[in-house]
Amino acid sequence: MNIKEKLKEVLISDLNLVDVTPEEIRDDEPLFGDDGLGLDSLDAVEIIVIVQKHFGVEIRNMEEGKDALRSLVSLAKFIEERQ
Amino acid sequence: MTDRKWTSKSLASSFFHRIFYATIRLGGRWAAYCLLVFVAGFYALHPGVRARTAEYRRKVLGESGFFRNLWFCYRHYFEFGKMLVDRAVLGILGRFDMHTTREDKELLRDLLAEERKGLIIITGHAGCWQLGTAGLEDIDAPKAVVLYRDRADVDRQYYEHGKGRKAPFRIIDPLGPLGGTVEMMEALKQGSIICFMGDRNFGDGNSGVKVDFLGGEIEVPIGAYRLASLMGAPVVVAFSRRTGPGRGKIRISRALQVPDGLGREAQAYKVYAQMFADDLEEYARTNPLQFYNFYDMWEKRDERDEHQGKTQGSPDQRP
Repeated sequence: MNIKEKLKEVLISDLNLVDVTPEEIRDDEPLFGDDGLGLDSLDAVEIIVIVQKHFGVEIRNMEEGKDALRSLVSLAKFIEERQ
Repeated sequence: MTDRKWTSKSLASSFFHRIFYATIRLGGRWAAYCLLVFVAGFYALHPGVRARTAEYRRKVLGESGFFRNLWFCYRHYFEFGKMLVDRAVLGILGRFDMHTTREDKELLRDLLAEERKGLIIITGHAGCWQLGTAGLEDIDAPKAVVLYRDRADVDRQYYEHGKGRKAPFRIIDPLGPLGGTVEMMEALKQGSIICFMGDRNFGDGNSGVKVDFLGGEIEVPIGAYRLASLMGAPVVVAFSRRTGPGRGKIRISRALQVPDGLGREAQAYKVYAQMFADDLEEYARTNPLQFYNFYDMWEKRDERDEHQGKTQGSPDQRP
């Protein structure tokens, strides 16, 4: 399973996104806000915890976070570069 | 889009703030208090400004006569003004004595040392909250304050008086990227104390819960409790009280640990938000003149929408 697919699964399970399936998450859609997956700002902290737990990669600060947390594809790229 | 009911924007213009700053420079604290007697009187007599706190007065005074109501309103605005003067005096003349008990300081130090996950302090718009960090100066930990500033706000924080002065704490903007949450997380990892205001919600999405407060329901934010759950940080509820000219006290009302794994649903945090609201209610009943939310906290959303439709173009401002 590639990083993007695994990310979709862990986001759905760990964030308890009950009405969302992996197929419904578009790679390039924004993670936050009404135009995308609809996550809220505190979900960002939860995603950082999830990424560390499942991929062993730490997002240390806002500089790293603001690019990495844009979309699923940017987050997958960030993880890939640091694994 | 936000459905926030309040703004941090000052009611007075920059010009009037400068008059107060000049008065403090020339005549000191007491001269500014004297000027305030008239300013507070003007606002208390102004029906539109008085209306902002009408519901709060109803909650704390019950049904009361016009003159009792007016007298309370005057003293309320005068108290608030004195806190703003004290804040400016601290910035301009460097004088303010904020007292914290030895027991409370020890509790803060113990929580910081035991958990090593930072510490979250939740407070409210009450007492001399804008000077609260002055009471934490001898706690050896970095400090951060989650602080929203209206772009149009002309009122200066105490550290903004004088060129080149920097805030003695990190400021995290809750309307910054990702709501400042990544910065908050980073600060907690560094062992910081982060101060949150627990009584005003920014109104975005899943960020608030309804709690009982002074005989009605208000919406309060759950962000601090959710962050505590995610990061394992201990939480302390504390309020400051202005005790006299240039003097204040901070008192911790409770410490709590929010368990991890509570998830995304705001309702999961309601019990903690209600604990905060209970403490705030006790504070407001004990110090009714030092509670400074100048808007109808109890107004329901549909009533508010209707009201805003009627008063479009007149932003909610505080005295």
